[in-house]
Amino acid sequence: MKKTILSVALLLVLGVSSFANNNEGVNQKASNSFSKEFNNAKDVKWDNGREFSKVTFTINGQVMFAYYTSNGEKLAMSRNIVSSQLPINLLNDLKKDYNDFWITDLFEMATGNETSYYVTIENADTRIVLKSSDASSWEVYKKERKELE
Amino acid sequence: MKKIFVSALFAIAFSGAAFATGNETISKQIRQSFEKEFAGAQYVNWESFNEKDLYHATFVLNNVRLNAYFDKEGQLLATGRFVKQESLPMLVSKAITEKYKKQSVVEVIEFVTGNETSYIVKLQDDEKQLYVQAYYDGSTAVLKKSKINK
Repeated sequence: MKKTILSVALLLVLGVSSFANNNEGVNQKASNSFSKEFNNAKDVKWDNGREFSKVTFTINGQVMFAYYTSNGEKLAMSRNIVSSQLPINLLNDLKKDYNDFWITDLFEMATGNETSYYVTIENADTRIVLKSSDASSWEVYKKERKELE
Repeated sequence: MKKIFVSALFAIAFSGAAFATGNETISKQIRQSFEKEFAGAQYVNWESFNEKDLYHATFVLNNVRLNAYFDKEGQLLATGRFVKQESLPMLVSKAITEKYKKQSVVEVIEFVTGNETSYIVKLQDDEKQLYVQAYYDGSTAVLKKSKINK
């Protein structure tokens, strides 16, 4: 279970889609779980992958994503956010410690009753993914040198 | 203990003027603590609540308007800022929407004590007003409930 959640996080961080181009239709178990929990969701769109199903939807005008196993178990939900939506401690630490970096990706992920934030920041030669699980401090999740193009 | 502390700060944050003494002498200890904690803060204003040995600074840091509360020893007790409803974490937003279906959100304060962040959400319907403290795991507690006088 934990490994699967990590896989979802990694997929989101890497921006890789394993969901696209699937014509098998909506997984009924996942669809039932989703409808039960998010009965006010609009603009619902399903993408089915081999391991997970991903559903994109809006609630109160906000675009969100949820991920389900083929058994209909919800693994996580996520949404893209802007930096001002980060908890203040995380925002201040980002500005203080990574002042010369720019943000290329930022999302919030909820698994069970836990919330985490992932931010990808870059400068000319480095790309770093930071993760926070406590809304208070960042840890380095991934760091790599950018390849020369 | 914790709940009492939050309630006390909450009462001050929402009706602060009633407690303010107007005599804003802030000790060196508190100022130093503030400068260490919020280096680079601008447009700093202080007010003190001598009755409760509480000191409140409003300021701007990284283009964000913040409130910070200190005790007389200069210890930071809490930080708060007004945020948009969209800034509520998904689990908090979901919990509020599910638990308070009849009320709409009027304003939201992000409230930080130590390493813990929570949200104070003001909700309202035709009859009543609620202040709810919501945590990251989606748990909530009502801080204050009042009827609206028509």
